[in-house]
Amino acid sequence: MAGGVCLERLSMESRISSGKLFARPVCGFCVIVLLVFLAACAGKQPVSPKPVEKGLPAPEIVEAPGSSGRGDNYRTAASYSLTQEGYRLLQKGNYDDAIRVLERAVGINPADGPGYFYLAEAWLKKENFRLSARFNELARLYLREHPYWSRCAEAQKKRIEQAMHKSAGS
Amino acid sequence: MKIFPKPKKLVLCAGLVLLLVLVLSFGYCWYLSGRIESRFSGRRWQIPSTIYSDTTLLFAGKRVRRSALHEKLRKLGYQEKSGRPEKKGEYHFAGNRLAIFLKDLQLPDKERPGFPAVLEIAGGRIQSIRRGGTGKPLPLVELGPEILMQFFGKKRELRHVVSLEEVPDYLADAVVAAEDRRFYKHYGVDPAAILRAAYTNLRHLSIRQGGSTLTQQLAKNYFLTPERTFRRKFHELFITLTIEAMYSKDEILEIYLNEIYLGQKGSAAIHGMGKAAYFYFGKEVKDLTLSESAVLAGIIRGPNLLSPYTHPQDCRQRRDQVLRAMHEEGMISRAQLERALEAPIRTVGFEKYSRRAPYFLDYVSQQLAELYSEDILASMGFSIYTTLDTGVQAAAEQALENGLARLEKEIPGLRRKDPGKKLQGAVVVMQPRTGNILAMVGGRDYAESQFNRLTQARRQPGSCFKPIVTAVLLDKFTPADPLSNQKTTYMIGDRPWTPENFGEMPYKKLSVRDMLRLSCNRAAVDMVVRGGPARVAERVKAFDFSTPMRPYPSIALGASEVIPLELARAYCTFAADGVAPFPLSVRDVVDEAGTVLVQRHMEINDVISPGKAFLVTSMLQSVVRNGTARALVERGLTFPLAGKTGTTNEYRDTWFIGYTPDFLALVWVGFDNGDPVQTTGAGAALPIFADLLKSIPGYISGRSFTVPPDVVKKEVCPLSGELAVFGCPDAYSEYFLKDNQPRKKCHIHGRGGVFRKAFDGIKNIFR
Repeated sequence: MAGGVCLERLSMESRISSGKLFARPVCGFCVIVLLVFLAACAGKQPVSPKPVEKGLPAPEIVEAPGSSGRGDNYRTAASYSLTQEGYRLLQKGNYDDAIRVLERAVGINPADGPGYFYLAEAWLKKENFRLSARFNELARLYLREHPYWSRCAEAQKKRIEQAMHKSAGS
Repeated sequence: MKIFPKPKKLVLCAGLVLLLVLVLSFGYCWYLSGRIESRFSGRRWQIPSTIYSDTTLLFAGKRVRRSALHEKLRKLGYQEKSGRPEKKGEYHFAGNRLAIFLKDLQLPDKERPGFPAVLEIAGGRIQSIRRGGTGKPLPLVELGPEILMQFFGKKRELRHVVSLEEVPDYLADAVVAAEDRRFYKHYGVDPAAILRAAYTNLRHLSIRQGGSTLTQQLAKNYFLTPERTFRRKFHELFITLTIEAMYSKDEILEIYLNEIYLGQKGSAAIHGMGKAAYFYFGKEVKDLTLSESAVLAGIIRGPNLLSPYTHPQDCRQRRDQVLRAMHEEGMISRAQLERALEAPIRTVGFEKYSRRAPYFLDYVSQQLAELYSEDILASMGFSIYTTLDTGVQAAAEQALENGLARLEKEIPGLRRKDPGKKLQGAVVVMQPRTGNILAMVGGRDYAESQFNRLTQARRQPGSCFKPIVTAVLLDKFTPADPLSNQKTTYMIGDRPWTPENFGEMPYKKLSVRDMLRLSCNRAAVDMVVRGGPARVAERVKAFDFSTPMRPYPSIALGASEVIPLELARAYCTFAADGVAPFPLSVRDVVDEAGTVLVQRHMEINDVISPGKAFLVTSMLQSVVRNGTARALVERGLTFPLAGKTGTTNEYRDTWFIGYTPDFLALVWVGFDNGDPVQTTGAGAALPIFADLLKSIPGYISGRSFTVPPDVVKKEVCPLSGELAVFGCPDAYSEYFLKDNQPRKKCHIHGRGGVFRKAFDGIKNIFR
């Protein structure tokens, strides 16, 4: 038995009234250890994955898959500021200017996953589904190790496919 | 007898003559008014279109050279100051700190007012960027584009049109005080001014004053030829009167301020106050000071004799005259006069108009010619924004020039007396992800030959084609698969063909990786023959070469000609996860009003999977690490870099193409007439590539290539190419496509005793 717990057959009431339970520190310690052990075995509570937002996800710095995180953070930071600007322009509906800024972002940092994501979104709004799909592929490639963004990119892929089918149908 | 006609008849005749003159004059003025109206209501001036380079992004961590930064700022019209910069367009270097007051930035997609910034530069890198005053950290700052070229028509005039509202009052006043004090009072011709000028000039026995009004000057410059004849004077008078009748004084002044000739920039003439303000003082006309306005007004009389660049003393004297005239006319106060008289005349300097990046500009011009005629480009004042990076362009030109000179020095047989037959070269630099062309050098000397060897030449790529055929066969071959290096004769139709290697290669078999690493011809041909030449030729079409690919085994050795720019684009595919970008040179075309007429974005196409692109890149990294391009490592280029050397039969073409995730450069060296270069790609083209990379450190991130999800790593046997087992000598890690990976254990070393197999089994549990 874990912790060498030893349980004596005494009623709880008599133990408490007589103080014998607490008069036996070894057993008390064993009970505490057992409780701690059981709590540890229960494990972490499962955390529900962050749901994909209805609107565009806000940009955040995402390191390239397999990146050591050393030596090229400055490019990531520089491209992040441009990606932020691209995101703001997208929100305003200024798609051409957003595309221009985002192209600069991925030019500085070719591993800018959110940059490709927003480019896919901008081209989707401009109804160029071919380019949107290309950028979505790159977004899924560079965001695959980031669970939230990966889900966003998969959801975007579905939206692009739906839009393509709708456009083909009409 | 009547000797004299009667007075009544005289008067009548005179009256009739006068009436006739008036009618004719009126008719002539009416005719002129039509011409003047059509001239002024239509496009008033030919404004040449301007081609700009790309902007420059500076961000913390970027590697920079201080001298290059100085040069860049100078070319952008920034002035170095001894102290803290206080106005837009000034900068100051103090130790590791660069304080700069950024100019306003106006681009098709953004406008950003200028502001002060401080950059800390140490160890060859920008350590931090902060906003001046607040100290707020900034992730990046953007410097404006440089002018590369202007499309001149027959008249080589530089002009920046401004409205009267933009012109400061004291500039307009200065012009009136200098040239026509009674401008607002006369009706085009000022007899008083003519008489006064005549008197002054006679008194001093020299031309001190002109009698022409602003309107007369306008009529002369705008409509008439410069000869001095009575007939021309007659026309000038009528045109002057007609202009005065048709337009208000303010309108006339506005046209004058934009028309007047104000100096020379090389062979191009500066017209108008808008352009003159930039040319002399590096600022917009609305930012001119009183002193500067008086300078510009003063030089109207003789821009080449009163230029502050060539005749500073005379310029100052004339400026002072104008300022005193303004004070006499009550336009400025005594205090203003005294302050302005003491102000020094500080000009910004200028570079004479010259054509930079000429091959690139030709390439851009060809694209523009498909959209607009020459006349439109020479007159409509378009702004054309390109992808060219002037720093990279200068580095590429220098590297090529130095590299070719070095080759001619080392190999005397390459020297040619005839400049038209000299050793040639070409360099193109691109961003592989976006397709942006950062630099284009289409030949050794544009003045000697305008033939662009990157876009117009067709040359055999030689071994540089091996990665492309490898890429299209990666569903059949793995990097570890053995290929035969045995001397083999193939029948091409009914003719035998025996490929040979460059140099000694004693191995009977080579892996696909080693085939690329050592550029083994026999092994490459073996791969293509086993894969099927027709299949290879068909699949290579995905790379979009416009030249035909012959479906023969020699396709492995790059026997089919390619256009070098297309070859560079094909290599972008390997650098950019299997996606090929469209080479981009023109970004935007904007008209004078700022309306975007053409906007080009990144265009990408799937060519191969990310996994295949990565495998090729990984193998080309071996070429650099310990293959035919290992000299790059010896030259200190130790960051992740992939590349391929190429040499064609009889050394007619030598190539090197190298890339990182964010940078790609192609170098070609050869003779236009196909004479041998007498060395390989590693000897001719590779050193030029190395020099180029070392001179632009800010463009290399040092980032590794990302391993995509469809690639796995396995231990393999070098002899069988199969999964390594205990006993395989020199087993090594190799990358494979998930869909095409070795499944079998090494059949050469796999047989063995029970213990051996048991050991393998245990080993596999923990793999």
